[in-house]
Amino acid sequence: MAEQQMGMFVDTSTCHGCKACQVACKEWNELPMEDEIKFLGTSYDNTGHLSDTNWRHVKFVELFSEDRSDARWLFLSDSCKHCQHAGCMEVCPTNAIIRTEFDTVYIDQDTCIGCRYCITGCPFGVIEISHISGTAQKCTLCYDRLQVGQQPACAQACPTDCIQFGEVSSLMKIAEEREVLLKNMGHSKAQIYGKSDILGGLNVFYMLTEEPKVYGLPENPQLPQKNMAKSYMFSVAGMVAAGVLALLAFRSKRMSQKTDIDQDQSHVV
Amino acid sequence: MPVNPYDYFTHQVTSPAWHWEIVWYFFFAGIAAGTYITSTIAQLAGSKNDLQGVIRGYLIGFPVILICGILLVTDLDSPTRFLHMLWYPRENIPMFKAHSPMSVGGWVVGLFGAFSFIGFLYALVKMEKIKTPWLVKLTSFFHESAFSKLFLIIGMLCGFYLGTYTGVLANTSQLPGWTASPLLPVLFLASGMSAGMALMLLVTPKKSELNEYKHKLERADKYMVILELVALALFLITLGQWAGKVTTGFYGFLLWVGVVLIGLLLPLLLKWKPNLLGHRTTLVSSLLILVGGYVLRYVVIMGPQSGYFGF
Ligand code: SF4
Ligand code: SF4
Repeated sequence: MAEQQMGMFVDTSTCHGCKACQVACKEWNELPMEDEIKFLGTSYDNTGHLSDTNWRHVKFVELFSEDRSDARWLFLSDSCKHCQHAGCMEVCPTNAIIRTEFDTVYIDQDTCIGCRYCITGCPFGVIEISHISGTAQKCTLCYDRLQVGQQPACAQACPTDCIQFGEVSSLMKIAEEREVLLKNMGHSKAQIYGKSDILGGLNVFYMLTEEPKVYGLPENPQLPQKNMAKSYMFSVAGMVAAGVLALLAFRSKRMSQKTDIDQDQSHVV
Repeated sequence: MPVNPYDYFTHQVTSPAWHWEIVWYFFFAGIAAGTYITSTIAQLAGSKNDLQGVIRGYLIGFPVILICGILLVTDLDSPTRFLHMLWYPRENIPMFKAHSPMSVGGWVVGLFGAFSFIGFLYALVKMEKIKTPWLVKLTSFFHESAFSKLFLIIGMLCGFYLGTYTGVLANTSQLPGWTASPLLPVLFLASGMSAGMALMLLVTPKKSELNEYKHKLERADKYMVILELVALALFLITLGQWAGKVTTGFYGFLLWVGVVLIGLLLPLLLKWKPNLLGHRTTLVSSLLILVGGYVLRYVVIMGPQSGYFGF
């Protein structure tokens, strides 16, 4: 267990989509712009996704009524969730993904070999490989700032205090109070995403006002290892089947060997 | 307000963007495993006459696994650090994670390399290309002494792991088309075995004393093609809603024409009617199986990645 369990509470109900956190993250971590500035064509959100150069991304979720006469915007300041059961960490073959003394998930840039397996392990599509470093990149929860007692750059920059940084258990208490308040205010779907039911708990967790899937968050994310036992079981069954079939074809049938040879010469030219 | 035109779901999962190197690696790993497993089974269970043919099978595994190693390293985004897969530089200890199929796979590729290297030397000794006394002694110790059975069985198990773990690797991911069916390892194994046997048929010379062996190899290959057909059908059924990723569009075309028709049904027909193309039957059916084996991996690796960010 880490010395402290530090994390973030992202209250999407107070986010107004200014992207100050996204800019602060880029500035502090010296992350370059992407090659081209694009319009997605499907949303006012022009970033679209997390990547090697976007460790934080403010998702714009535009909701429309059936006849499109009414519209509503949701914003979610997204990043690595620093999961308690982190799929990326489970699969990494080099131990490049480690848990820090703050209980955050950190990619050791000197160890990573750029095999891309962690990309397949993360259920939230967080990691990408950098063409510059040749290694896996994602939010570090500003590990360098934490080490000198500062809060992450995004949390400091957020003008609405939508991103709060601190000890996970105290943040969870604040979130639970907030959930009650939001429900009383009529947000019947208000819910915390990232309690212990989601991958053992997310150190970076969210207050949502709609179902998780509306924000593109998986309802029930699983560790990639969930499939491993079944997959190995079928592998063994496959080995037995292939082995027995090959054995049947090759075993020496002393009694019928002559017939085999005769047949053989008539068939194989 | 239920309509969300921005489908975040497909943006949420990121594709690892595994490209051609990985497709070729999966294909060659299947062949290396297939030839070694077939050779060991034939040596353990076959007749004395089979050995002449078997030794040619041993010639394939080692060079092919070398190519696999090169492909694996060049595919890394930091290739010069490839040793980190086996050695943890921070603590100077071996790097092994039993719950990461890639970590176990890295070790097995190395181990298989050692087994197939000895098999390779054994073949050269048997073909009288190597006559160095200590090498002759060493290879016959591993392949012909009382201990050889155990050696060959362990080598064969390494081959089996190599032939299946690529499927487990894809199964332990978040890409729906890779995780939906646990039959992926069986499919890869059957295809690797049939491709390996097809290649062994191609390198078996036309000598009458090898006819019995060739006949057995043809029969084994036929069984593997049938196993692959069954595994493919079950794979597609168990893919459920994700089957469309490999059965429709460009990948669907490749699957039905390249894999099912060219790589499985036509070779099966040629194996049932060995006189159909005269003396070229074996050559044609083996080539078709090899093409089908490659296309299968291309479809199964690329299809499920399509449509996700990063690819
Ligand atoms: S969100 Fe993804 S990258 Fe971040 S810790 Fe969890 S699994 Fe790893
Ligand atoms: S890319 Fe780097 S961090 Fe990701 S699994 Fe491979 S070695 Fe680990």
